[in-house]
Amino acid sequence: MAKNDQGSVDAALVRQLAELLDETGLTEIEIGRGDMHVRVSKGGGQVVHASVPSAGPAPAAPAADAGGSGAAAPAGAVTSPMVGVVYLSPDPGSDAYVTVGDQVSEGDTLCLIEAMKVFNPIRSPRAGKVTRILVNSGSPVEFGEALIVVE
Amino acid sequence: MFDKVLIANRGEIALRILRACSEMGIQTVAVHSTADEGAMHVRLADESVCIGPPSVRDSYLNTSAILSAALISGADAIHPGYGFLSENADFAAMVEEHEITFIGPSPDHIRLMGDKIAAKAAVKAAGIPVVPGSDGGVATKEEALRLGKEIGYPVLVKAAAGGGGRGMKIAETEDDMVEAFLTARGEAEAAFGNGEVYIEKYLGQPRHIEIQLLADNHGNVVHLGERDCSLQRRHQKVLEESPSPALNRAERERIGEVARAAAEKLGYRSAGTIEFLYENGEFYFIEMNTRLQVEHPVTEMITGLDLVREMVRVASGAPLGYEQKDIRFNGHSIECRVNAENPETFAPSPGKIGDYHAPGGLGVRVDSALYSGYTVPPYYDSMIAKLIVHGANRNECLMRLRRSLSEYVIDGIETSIPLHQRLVEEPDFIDGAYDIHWLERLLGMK
Repeated sequence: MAKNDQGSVDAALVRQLAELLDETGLTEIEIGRGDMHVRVSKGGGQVVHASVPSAGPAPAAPAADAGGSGAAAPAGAVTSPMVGVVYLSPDPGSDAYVTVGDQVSEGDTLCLIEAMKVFNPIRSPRAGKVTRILVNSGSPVEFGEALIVVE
Repeated sequence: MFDKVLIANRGEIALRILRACSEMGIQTVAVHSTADEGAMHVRLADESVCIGPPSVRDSYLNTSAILSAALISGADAIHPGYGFLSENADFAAMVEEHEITFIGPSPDHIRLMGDKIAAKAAVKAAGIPVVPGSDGGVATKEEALRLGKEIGYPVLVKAAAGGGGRGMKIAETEDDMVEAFLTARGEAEAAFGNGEVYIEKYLGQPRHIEIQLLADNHGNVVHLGERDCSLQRRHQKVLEESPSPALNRAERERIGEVARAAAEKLGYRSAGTIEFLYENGEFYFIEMNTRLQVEHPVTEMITGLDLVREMVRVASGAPLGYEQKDIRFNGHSIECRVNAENPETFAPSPGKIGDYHAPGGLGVRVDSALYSGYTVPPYYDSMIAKLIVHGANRNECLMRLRRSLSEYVIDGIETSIPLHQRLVEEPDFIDGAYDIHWLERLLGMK
């Protein structure tokens, strides 16, 4: 990556980040390298902040190992209404409920969340196309965690 | 010893539990609502799990979400803190059914002490003095009238499912009895789903004095002295201190031993507090709290024991390792509860904290999850900090309290610090001459 003087902006980096935004469908990316911090976020043009860290102590907190908490869920994401383990297919042997590219109707089952031995179907709130599956089958999910994007 | 503890609470007590676990090398899991994503203990925990939206019912009282979080994170124990699910016997039982340790007393003791009628009978049988009153529940207004006459007015009609000052109605004279009885019953039914009530003599000028107990799983029980929590507003404690200015050493040792022996007889384990009303040299049991209490730091300061650590230790099966004769009481300690509210109107004052500077120095402790830039959410209890001071004697404590209150900066919201500053200047408080009605009288509520 190109080195930067303090205060000047690496245009190539910003462009790369902007492309990443489009590709991944995220709304915001923030990256820090050494002294430099860049945040690129979507929404009416790209806004770039290049900031030098402040002299005072920032509340340095080790990043919590949390799935959805803190990060903005992508637009159109169906989020988890409960804490549990997500499964993308009805049982280990079967096909997944949906794959990327599928058209779904409102009410179609997208995945299951198992909590306390009870399997809860998560249904699509709208008709649309499955564009992204953000979780792996068998992984734990928390309340509010983004699961599947239906646009 | 546990590898991983899930903290089923929020705010300052969640941070308190996290600190104790961290010092013991135990991994921590913080469960939180969406409103608490920026909470300090969530940021510091090894793992965090969002369990629901801001509402308490859907998050911190959501037993299945919390249990699921424990299961997916692989926690081997849960510490419930105080409030929320800490005295929910069903939750404690469910936790144990899933082979996770509930860091607290047994579900049976939680259930027993949660039923105020059964609790009174059980402790009475174990030798604890109780308030004169009905022998069990009172079913009819005729019986209420008969008891009122027998006990002598004024009397209190109390909900069996109540506690913490809730679900009580006074009958000053015989004329008030029927109404007090019927409304207490109706309100109890509405609030707790259980309309059973009992009747007790109303004490005119009692102090609230409670005994801290600690027991391991092997039958060893100690008492850790008393706390005087008479300064209350609407049954909420505002300031607590230990030792009580009202007790001498003989009385302290006597009631401490009575409480300790009763807990031993009941087979109690973990931390617990027996609350008494004290009047004219007599102690009267009101209730037992089967959990850690908000004001536990006062006891920690004078005994040198970390109560959260001890709870975790005994829950993991370790013996106490000390006996009553090994407990030392040093000096005096006072705790002020700092709430996010207007110090005069008590209107809640949530919002973003600007400058934050906690007092320090010898004998000053602040238990708080606040930090500059933190937003106090509007959904929860208004207590945001506890300022605890310790000194060689009560006078030193008072000076230290005055000094540290004046140093404390919490900018951006209103807090009850000015109320505490007023209290430490009141002659009655300085003399230690106050009962459970004193504060409300001072505030013009009575």
